[in-house]
Parts: sequence; C-alpha cells; structure tokens
Amino acid sequence: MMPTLFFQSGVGLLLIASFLALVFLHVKQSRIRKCFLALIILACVLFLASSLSVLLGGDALAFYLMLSGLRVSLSIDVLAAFFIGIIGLVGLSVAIYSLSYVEHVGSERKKNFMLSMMAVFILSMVLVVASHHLLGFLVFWELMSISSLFLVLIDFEKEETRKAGIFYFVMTQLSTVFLIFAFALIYNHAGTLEIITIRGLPPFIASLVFVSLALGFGIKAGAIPFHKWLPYAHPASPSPISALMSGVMIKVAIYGIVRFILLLPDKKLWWGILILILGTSSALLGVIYALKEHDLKRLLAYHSIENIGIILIGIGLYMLFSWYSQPAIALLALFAALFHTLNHALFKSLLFLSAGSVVHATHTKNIEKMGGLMKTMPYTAALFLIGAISISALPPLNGFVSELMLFQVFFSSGVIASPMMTLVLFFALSLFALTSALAAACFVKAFGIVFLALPRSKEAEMAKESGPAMILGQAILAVLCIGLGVFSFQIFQQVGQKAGISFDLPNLLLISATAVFIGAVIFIAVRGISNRNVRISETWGCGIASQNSRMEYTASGFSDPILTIFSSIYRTKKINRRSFHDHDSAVFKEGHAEVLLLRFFEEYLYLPVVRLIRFLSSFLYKVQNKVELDPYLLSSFVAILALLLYLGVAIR
Amino acid sequence: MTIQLIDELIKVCMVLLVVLTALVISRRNLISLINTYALHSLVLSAIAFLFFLGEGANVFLYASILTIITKLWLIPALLKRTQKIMKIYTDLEYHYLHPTSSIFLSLFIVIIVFLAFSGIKDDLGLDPFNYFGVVMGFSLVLIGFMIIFSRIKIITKTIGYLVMENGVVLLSFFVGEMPFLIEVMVLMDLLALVAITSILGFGMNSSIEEFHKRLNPFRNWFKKVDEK
Amino acid sequence: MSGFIAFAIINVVVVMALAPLYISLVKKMKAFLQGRKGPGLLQAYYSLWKLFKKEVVYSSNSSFIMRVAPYISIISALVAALFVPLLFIPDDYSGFGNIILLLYILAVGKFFMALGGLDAGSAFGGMGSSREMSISSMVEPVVIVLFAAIAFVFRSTNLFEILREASHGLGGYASLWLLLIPLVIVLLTETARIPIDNPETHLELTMVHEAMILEQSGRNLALLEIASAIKQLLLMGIIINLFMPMGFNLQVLFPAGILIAFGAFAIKGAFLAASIGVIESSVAKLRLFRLPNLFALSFFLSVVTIMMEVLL
Repeated sequence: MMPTLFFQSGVGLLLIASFLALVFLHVKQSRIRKCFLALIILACVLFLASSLSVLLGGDALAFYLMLSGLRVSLSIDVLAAFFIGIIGLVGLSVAIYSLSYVEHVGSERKKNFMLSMMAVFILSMVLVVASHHLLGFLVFWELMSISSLFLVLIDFEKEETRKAGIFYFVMTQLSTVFLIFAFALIYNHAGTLEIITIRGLPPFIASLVFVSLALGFGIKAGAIPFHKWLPYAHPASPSPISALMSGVMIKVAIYGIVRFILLLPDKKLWWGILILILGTSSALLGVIYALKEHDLKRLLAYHSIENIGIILIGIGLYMLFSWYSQPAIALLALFAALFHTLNHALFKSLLFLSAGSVVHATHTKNIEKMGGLMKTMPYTAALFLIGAISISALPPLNGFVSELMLFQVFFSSGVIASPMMTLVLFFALSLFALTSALAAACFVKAFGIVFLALPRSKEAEMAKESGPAMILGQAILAVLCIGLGVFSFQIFQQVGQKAGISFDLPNLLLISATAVFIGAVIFIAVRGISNRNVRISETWGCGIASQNSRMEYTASGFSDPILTIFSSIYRTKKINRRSFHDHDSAVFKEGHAEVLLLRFFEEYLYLPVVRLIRFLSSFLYKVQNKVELDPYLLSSFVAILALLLYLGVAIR
Repeated sequence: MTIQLIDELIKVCMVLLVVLTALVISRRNLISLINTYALHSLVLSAIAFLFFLGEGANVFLYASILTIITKLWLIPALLKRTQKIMKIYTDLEYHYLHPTSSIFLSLFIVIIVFLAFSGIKDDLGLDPFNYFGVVMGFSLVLIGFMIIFSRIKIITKTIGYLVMENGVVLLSFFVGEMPFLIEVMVLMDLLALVAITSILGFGMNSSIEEFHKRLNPFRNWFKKVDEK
Repeated sequence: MSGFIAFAIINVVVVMALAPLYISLVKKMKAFLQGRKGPGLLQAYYSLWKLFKKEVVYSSNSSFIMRVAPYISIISALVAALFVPLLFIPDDYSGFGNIILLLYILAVGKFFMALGGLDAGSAFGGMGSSREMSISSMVEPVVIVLFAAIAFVFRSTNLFEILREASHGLGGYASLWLLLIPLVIVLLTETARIPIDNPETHLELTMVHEAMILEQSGRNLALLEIASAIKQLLLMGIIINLFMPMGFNLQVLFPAGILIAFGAFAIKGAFLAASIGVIESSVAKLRLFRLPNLFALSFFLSVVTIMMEVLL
C-alpha cells in the first residue's frame, strides 16, 4: 500500500513541522525555517504522489489514522484524490515561494508561527477532503477555519487586519453552523455518519439539507451575496497565505458542494437553477467589483469570487442537464467545473504570489502607485503576464480550456426539451461571455498599470526583483498553466478513455505549433523585406519637453468607461448642485458635489441582520439584567414546567 | 406560389417586423422614426398580402391596400408635417426607461407573452406558426404601450400608439379575422389622433404638460367672457 | 490531412492578398460618396510597403510588450484565417473549425494590442486601450449569443460544418436573416468603423483603435494594419459564405473550381466592402456611452432568432 503510506507519512511530516515550529518559536536562524519548509515541501510531494497514484491507478484508498488515540477513518476516491492533488501542487509551490518570502514577515516569532500554522492549514485541508466521516469532516473543517484565521491575523497590529479577521471569523463560523445543521439532518434521517452512504432522505428534508449545504459551502467559497469576508481577509494576510486561501481553501468548499451533490438522492430542478443563479451572479458581480478595485490583492480576491462563480455555473449546468437526462453533456459540465477548479487554483495562486512579490518590492498595494515594474522585475512581470492571460481565458492557456468546455455545454442547450429553459440558459450564456470579456479588460488594466510605462512613485522606481526561490515557486505554477492548456486535448483524451466519454476539444498543441510556425515565417519574412533601423525616442507628449508619470493613463481612468456603463450596478450616485449669481448660469456662486457609494449587500443584507441581532441581544440583556430575582426564578420555573409538559406529551 | 413558399415569406416578413420594432424602440431622430414606422406598416401590409395569396380571402387584400394608403402615406405625411412645424428633430427625453433598458424590457415582454400564451396555445388551436405570429402581435401591442409611457414627446407617444395598433392588426391576422368594418373604424381613429396631434402640436414644444399650459389661456379667456 | 494543408495555404494566401484591397475599397467608396476621387485601389499595398521600409521608433518607456504585440496580433489573425473557410471547405479535416476558439484567438491579438497601447506611457495609448477593452467587453455577449444562435440553428459549433450546411442555401433557415444585422454590427465593431469608431480620425475625442496603436511605427505598424485588415476580411468571409454562398465550395473541380470560387469571393467581397463604405458614409459616429444601445439592439435580434428557432 504505497499510496496510503505516502499519505500517512505526509500527515506525519506536517504534524512534525508544525510542532517543531511551535517549539522553536523564538529561534532566529533562517536555516531552521528552511528545514520546516523542506518538511512541508516533502509532505506536499508525498500528497501529490498518493493522489496521482489514485488518479492514474483508479483504486480508491480506505484507511484510518490514529491521531492521539482518536481513530479517524479516511478514504480517498478519485474526486478526493483530485482535490488532494490540487492542495499538494499549490502547497508545494507556495512552500517553495515562502523559502525566501518568510524572511520578510515581521518578527522571528511571527515567522515561525506562520510556518507552523501553514503546516496545520495544509494538513487540515487535506484531511477535510480525505474524510470519510461527517464528524471528521466537521472537525477538520473547523481546524482549517481556525488555522487560516490565525494566518489572517499575522499582522494583527493593523486595525484593518483585525477587522478583516473578525469579519472572516464570523462568516466562517456561520458557514460551520449551516454545515452542522445539514449534517445533523442527514444523521437523523439517514442514520449514518459515513459520507458515502447518504440514502433514504425524505424529499423535503433532502431539499432542506441541500439548501443549508449550499449556504454553508457557499459562504466558505465566497459566492455572492456571502462574499463580503473574502475581499477583506485575502488582502490582509501575507501573500503566500492569500495564495493558499484563494487557490485552495475556497476550493475545499467546492469539493464539499460537488461531493454532497453527487451523493444527495432525487435532486430537484430548482437546485440546479439555484446553483446556476448563484454562480452567474457571483461571476458577473465579482468581476465588475474587481474592475473598480485599485488594491492589487483585493482585485485578485474579487476575481476569486468571479472564478468561484464560473465553477458554480459548471456545477449548476451539471445538475440541470442531468435533470433533463442528458448525461453526456452533464458530465462535460462537471468536468469543466472540476478542471476550472484546478486551473483557478494554479493561476490564482500564481497571481497572488507574483502580486506578493510586487507588493513586497514596492511597499504598497495601491496599483496607482506602481508602474514600470517590467524593467525592474522582468521575471515577476512575465510570470504575472502568464497568470493574467490564463485568467482572461485566452488560448492556448488552461483558463481558456475550461471556459471553452463551459461554452460548449451552453451551446448545446438546444437539446433541452423545455424552450423556456433554453432561453434562460442563453441569457446565462450571455452573462458568462460578458464576465470573461470583463476579466480580460480588468487584467489589461492590472498588468498595464502595474508593469508597463513609467513608475508612478519613488518606491516603484526603486523596486528590486525578488529572490530565486520566489521566482521558482511561481514558475512551477506558470509552467503548469501553460502545459495544462497546450496539452489539454491529449489530457482529456486520456481522461475520456477512463471516464468513458468523449470530449470534443480542439487540439491546442497543433494550433500552438501552427502559430509558432506562422510566427517564425512572418518573423523571417519581415526581417527580409523591412528596414531594420531602430530608434529609441521619447513618447510624444503633446509638445511638453519631457514626459513624466503623471501624464500616463491611471487605473481609475482606464476602468472609467466600464464603470460609467455599469453605474447602475455599482449603485453610485453622483450629486452635483450648483447655484449662480445670474440668470444665465455664468457667474458661479457656490456648489456642492459628492459621489455616494452604496454598498448594496452591506446595506441591504448584512446590516439588517446585524441590527436584528443587536435588537434581540439588547432585549435579552434587559431581561437578564434589569429583572429582579423572583421573576427571573419564575421564568425559569415556567420554562422547566413547559419542558416537562412537552416531554409528557411527546412520550405519550 | 406554393403554400410553403408563402409561409417562408411570412416568416421573413415577421423577422423584418421584429427588426423594425427594435429600431422604433431605439431611434431618436424623429424623421427616421417616422420612416421606420412607415416601413413597419409596409411589412405589415406585405404580410396581409401574403395571407391573401395563401388563403384567398378578399379581406386580407382590402386590409393590405388600406394599410398602404393610410399608414404608409397618409399618417407619415401628417406626422412629418407636424414635425416640420414643431422644428424638433430628436427625441432625447425619457420617463423611467432609457432606450437600452427598453430594448431589454421588450425582450422580456416577448418572453413573458411567449410564456403566457404557451399555456393556452392548445385551447386556441394554434399551430407553432400561428402561435409565433400571435406572440409577436401581442408583444408589439405591449411594446407600443411601453413606448407610450417611456417617451415624453407626444409625437413619439403617437408613434407608440401606432405601433400598438399594428400589433393588433398582426394579432387579428393570426388569431382569426377581425371584422373588416372595425378595422376601418380603428384606422379612422388613428387618423383622427394624428390629425389632433398635428393641430395641437402647432408651434408647441410638444409635451403633454405643455398642452395644459397652452390650453390655460383659453380657460382664462372663457372666464373673462363670463365676467363680462 | 493533405486536403487541409492545401486549404490552409490557399486560405492564408487569399487572406494576405485580398485583405488590404478591401480596406482601400471601403475608402474608395467613401470618397466616391463624398464626391472625391479618392486613392487608387492599390494604395493600401503601397502604404504597407512604405511602412515596411521605414525605421521603427520605440518609446524609451516601452518594454518588450510593444515589440511583440504586432507579431502576436498578426499571428492570431493568420491562425484565425485557418478557421474560416473562404473558398472551399476541406473534406478530410474539421478540427480547426471551433467558433469559440476562433473568437478567443482573435481576442489574444486584441489583448496584446491593448497592452501595447499602455506600454509607451502616453495618455492617448491608455485612452485607446481603455475604450477598446470597454467596447470589446460590451460586444462580447452579443458576439457569443450571436454565434450561439448560429450554432443553435445549424446544430453545430464547428464553422466548417456550419458553412458546409449553409452552402446549400438558407432556404430552410428564414430566421437566420435576422442575424445579418447583428453580424454587420459586430463586423463594424471589430474593425473599428463608424458608428463605433472612426478609422480616419486622429482626434482624441473620437479615436479608439487608432489611439491604441498611435505609438507604433514602421514595420510594426504595418503588421498591425495587416492584422486588422485580415480580421475584417475573415468576418466578411463568414458573412459572405453564410448569406451569399453562390460559387462557394466548388472544390470538386480542382483547380478550376478554386479559381471560380476565388473570383466569386472577390466580387462578393467587393460588394460587401462597398456596402460597408455606404454604411460608414450614411451614419454618424455614436458617442461612446450610446454604444450599449446599439449592442442591445443586436443582442435583441440574436435572442429573437433563438426564440424563433425554439418555437418554429
């Protein structure tokens, strides 16, 4: 049982790493931290190996771990192995990246603590996915939430970070509440805590379980309207952690959705529609909010929401098409969703890591202060560009392939018997297309403003290229992004043989080869016929002697046309009142202008809930504190009596 | 001509009708708006003529000729005259909806109508071909309604009303024959409406509110007469 | 496969040969309508030749993006040329026919062109890129739904199969005529023409595409111009072969059939180019923020087509 052994030793290594890092919390030598990271890297490689052996061999593993006397039963089937593979891959490159990044994190204690928690975080995610038991799932889920909370709070001195931490904590606990509720219902009606055998739920209970699972996992995945924690928490944490959270942790929630949706019996049509709506709105609003954002890491966080939306669209389509009994198309949608999960993990981690390098080099997250980094940080720029092309879904990279698969699913919606549903799907298709085009616009902005033209601040001018370990960590992801895209046809031929379906994908390898060939011919021809003189000169500045960075287009200028077109979605109001001395509005007296930003979800969804809770708690506070002893006792007495009465009735 | 060919041609005409309706929604230039309406009516009369060829009922021929005379020539000519007198060339004022959102709303209308009729399609005994015609006709009525309430200038409101009437005519082609007499009466109504618009629109800046303002002096005038 | 290679070579050669011609044909038509004589039909070729012989000037602010953008642009255009059958459809291979891939390959060129616009640090370039990306993201849903409608009508996402089916005439697909208008709007948008953009102006208020490539010069500018000419020809090719398939796909008579098809395509292309010239002369450029209206119109028509197909 080699794969099992790999997995178990991976778990052991991570436990050792986290334990040792806690013990040597005050150690100053960077060498020992390299050792901890080496342990984490090794563990990730082991996880990757065991996942690959399951994926290629096809046999599910079932075994158990003894953790301090507790027997934890685990099983790794193909789905779990796929997600463990994602965790292993991203964990590996993040750990390599951290080899040099960790030295830039605050004090010695913080550095070691971060490594310790990172090990726990990766471990808990792997165990959530591998869990075979609802209780184990919950325990590791909580462990994942808590360890990531600690990681978010690494820079706890900042007010902003503390706020993000609290926001994150509340939302993640809310997600757990819904999960506990759903699991309790499952246990009550199915009578088992084993994950693979959920049967015999009555229809209403099944729907209830579905809704609370969708809520619980939706909150954790950051689907709109439960997304608010994500743009706070991801930028607040150190960049490798953002990469882990955005690349992997929200994928664990996706794993939960896929796992339980595959298990739940007699699915309803509206389940699929609900997931599709959740996905479409997350995708569209995520990218629209991202366009407005000028904080580099928050921009990426909003793109995570967008991509979670795209994955949810895939899952929703899977449910719809399987309801209309079109298994082949449904499977294509499911594979598209899963492949996009992998792709997003790769390119988003890559983007977060290179954003981390940029933020580290320029000491600011505001892209309006960056610019010109292409010349000072060429490798980081190239890697970010690969990530940007991939997330903008441009061929031949991997992001394109999964979106192409989704487009194909959408295009074949004519097979559905209900004309109404076909029309709905075409609308969803148009919104999906809008999303991917806006993402491209957003990344032209992000890359163009951060890396091109002239630096917009002193710090950006002084930026230095990051160390080789940081580059290597990103390069692994970048190579995978390219490889999974270019070889997608070959990969899915293999997958199709295993799964017994055929994917009608274009051969991107052939197309890329053709493109390279055409490029070579063009290049030679152009060199042959054209004038080879090259002159370097200044950009024309409309007659101004020398150009400076203030003449460049800014990020807000870049996104302004789109913001104006979608102004009704941003709910911004521009108020502009003027008064004049004369009748012809010529002599200006006084004026007042303001831009009101309405945070739609915060004002209409979050705050009312907060107000309700505050109202209830103030009421309870009054009851508990202002009432004298006797009525207090009386109320307890009445409560006990009522309970007894209920028991009596229930027994009869 | 074979029945299949006629059916195909009617389909093409309905396609054109949809295109023109979308144009009516989004035009701002009044002259091109009136021309678009004239084209709209031309296509309608073509549909009527095709029905005449297909089914041989003379009513369709009369309807076609009547449509050409009134809607292609008389009404646009009157509207153009009004427009010339008013010296307004574009319509840029809207209530509630902008052209972009009205296009989306009209899409929504078409879908809603489609849904609403899918329930009673079999009771009405409509085959898919007639069903599409009914849906288009009814949606035209609603889209005309939408134009009426979303535009401020009365000349555009009038055109909205006219589009609505075209929708009714289209509906009558597909769902069963409307007595010819009623059709004539409706057309007289329309003519009267356009005539009133052109008379009242004389030299005015042409919104309903302005009508009131213009009429107010008359009231005072009557008052003065009473006082005397 | 051999048939496909012949197809690829013929397609690329036809595209390279004809694309500049139609650019000058549109100009000639506009000049004619304005009562001018206009440049000769070969002017576009002369201009390109002149640009190739000029030196290249790079901005001192620019990076390698500005140097690779023209090449990526032309490569994407030429790879896209393999996706659109112009004269005939190869029988033995249709792996290059995916519509969505075609659209996204064209988007790659646009992505790099927009980055190139930002590279020199000029305010014009940034403005051009910003507007280009805004317009392209607004038109994207229309394009996708439009092609989804075509795919829905023909029950295929493969352009080779669609055009093979369409080459028998559109008798059974009346609703497809509705798509002609959105297709023309998309053509005008993608080739940066009036009413969306004005290809002849260099006024900062009105230019979009031209602003984006303002800093490019010499051979790089020539490559970009060829790329956009090819893009125009390819979109024209889709419209021509979908709606006017006369003389298309006569490959049985190789090589005489190819020559006839070439002649027919050149004539139909000239007709379409002249119509573009007429459209450009007869409408005014729209303000940037009125464009959504135009795109909503084409979206409406595409959805109605789908509805007609669902219903009838």
